[in-house]
Amino acid sequence: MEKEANGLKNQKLNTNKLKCVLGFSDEETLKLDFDNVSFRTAKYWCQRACRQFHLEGFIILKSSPNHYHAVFNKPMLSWDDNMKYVAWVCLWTKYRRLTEWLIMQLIKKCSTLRISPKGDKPMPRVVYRYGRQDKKIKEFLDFRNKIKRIYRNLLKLQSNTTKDMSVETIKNHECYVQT
Amino acid sequence: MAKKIAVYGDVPAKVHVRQRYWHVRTDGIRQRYWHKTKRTKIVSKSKRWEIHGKGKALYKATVIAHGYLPKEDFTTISADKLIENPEKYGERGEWLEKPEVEYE
Repeated sequence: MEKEANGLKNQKLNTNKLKCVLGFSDEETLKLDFDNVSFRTAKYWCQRACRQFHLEGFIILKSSPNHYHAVFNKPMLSWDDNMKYVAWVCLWTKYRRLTEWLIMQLIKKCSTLRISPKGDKPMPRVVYRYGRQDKKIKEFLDFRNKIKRIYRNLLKLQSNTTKDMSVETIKNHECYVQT
Repeated sequence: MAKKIAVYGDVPAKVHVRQRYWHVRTDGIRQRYWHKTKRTKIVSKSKRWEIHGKGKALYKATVIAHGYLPKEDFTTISADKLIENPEKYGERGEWLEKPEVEYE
């Protein structure tokens, strides 16, 4: 009964999914990706980083069991500034997966967090809030809602139209996403 | 830089098959080297769109990105440009499905 109630199982049953993944990407929001880490540990490191660098607040999103994303409230002045904090967490935690994620973000020159479902994993959902949420967290959540709306519209579009959708059909599609 | 939507996943890509050949070096020692052959095979490759823009344009660009696979591995583009000329930056195709992850 617990498994059915936690929401994970319900989303797994939804077979109508997109093959590509939608994510949020920018340079000024401090984000962390904890893989194979318990919620307690993820929360500990987020709180420690928050106190150490006065990051004002953070939210933790659960992407799948033992996989968490963290977003901090304080706006970063530059990309270098942003990566400085992530590197600090990597250095102290010694998590290999987090370090690999950092390296990938350094190659891309912008950090990305997943918003839409991926394979069997559901959409990440907010599980913990700490401190202030009025700056970058608010922007992140607003943009996340926008992407979620786009995702839902894409699903509708996918089920309604045939595979050979012409460019004109896409361009003239009437669905409108409010800003 | 503005906030961007990342559309990413695995796409089928054609790559040249690599094969090892024996070569005789100038100093007379026989050594095996990797070479690219003319034969090709289809493999899965990770590619991504990074789209920045506003409102309706952003939505339309995301729909186009869903139907078009990027030509480059990593394409950062404004929504208006992608809507105007999607064939320039991508080609029609379908994204590959991710393998399912087993939970405990």
